Amino acid sequence: MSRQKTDDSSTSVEGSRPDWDAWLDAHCARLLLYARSQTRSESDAEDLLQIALIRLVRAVESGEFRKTQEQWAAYVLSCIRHDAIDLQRRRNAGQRTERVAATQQPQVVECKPWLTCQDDAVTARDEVERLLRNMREDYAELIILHVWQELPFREIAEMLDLPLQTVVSRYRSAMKFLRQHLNPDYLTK
Amino acid sequence: MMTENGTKTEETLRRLQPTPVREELRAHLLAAMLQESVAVQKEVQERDELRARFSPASVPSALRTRLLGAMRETLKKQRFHVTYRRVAAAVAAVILLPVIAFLLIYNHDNADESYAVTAELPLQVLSGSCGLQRSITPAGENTAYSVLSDTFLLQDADSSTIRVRVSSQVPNPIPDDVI
Repeated sequence: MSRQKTDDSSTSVEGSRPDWDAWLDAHCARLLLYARSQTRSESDAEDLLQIALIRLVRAVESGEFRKTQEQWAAYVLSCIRHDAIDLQRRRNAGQRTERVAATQQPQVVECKPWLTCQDDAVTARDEVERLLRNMREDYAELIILHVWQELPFREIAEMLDLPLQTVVSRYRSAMKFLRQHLNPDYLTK
Repeated sequence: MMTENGTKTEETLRRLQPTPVREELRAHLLAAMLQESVAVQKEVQERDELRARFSPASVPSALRTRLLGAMRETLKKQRFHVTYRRVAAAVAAVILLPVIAFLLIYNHDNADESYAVTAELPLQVLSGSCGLQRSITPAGENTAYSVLSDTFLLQDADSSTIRVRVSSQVPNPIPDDVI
């Protein structure tokens, strides 16, 4: 699960060519989790992840991406985030023009599980997921980025274009919310 | 002088000590530091517990295949574009280099045109024996001429043509009376 470990496994044996297959296996689940949290729709999440991965391949192969391989995941996360914002804006603009039709149709919410639980404690997983989905979006985003994407606060601050202290204090508030609403037994085996 | 003054000033300043921190303030700061330390430890513990207990849901194999396929397709296109760009650059270089070289030589020859013609022409005329009678300069009205690289084609009034190679290495202009 360690970032360093997974990044090492994706280094190509042939030399300079990256092993995309291994890299995708190491990061795909976490990236999809973030995409799901950003779009709240399975199909949108898959599409955004695909677009972001294609951008990464283009950037790496063309030489535009000058950072190390350890930064690829952060780049993909950033792409997903920006594309999700763009998608939401387009949807909002469309809804303004077709407001009546939109309000008459029931909103479809696809609900595939975001997380798996090591010891099959489905109730605990469902509870954590429910809280993540229902808490403030910026809180949920910070928890997902720090806990499951394993990004340090400094990188999160750069990615979200926020001051470091703001990121830290928001994360603490998010964890406080989680702590207050989650059964304490769920966090310990 | 300035250094001595500066050193003295520094020594004077060093003798002055910061005001001691009040005990209450020190205790308050220490408590804040300890509180922060405990909070961070708790955060790390919570994070590790969450991470250990719950992990992101696995990716469906169909989606994995789709993503990998898209990445490979992009990779192929990207590599084709890179190769295409390199080949295009090489072809352009092969085509453009002679043109650039020609233009450079042409401009160089034009720069010392009158000098070169005046200097080289009599030698060529004498050896070519085309019967040129007039003084030939680039601005001569009775003489048609054209320039091809470093070779001048000169034509006199009788339509006799002589090819004169221009060289700027001839040191002295030939006097008019030679022609």
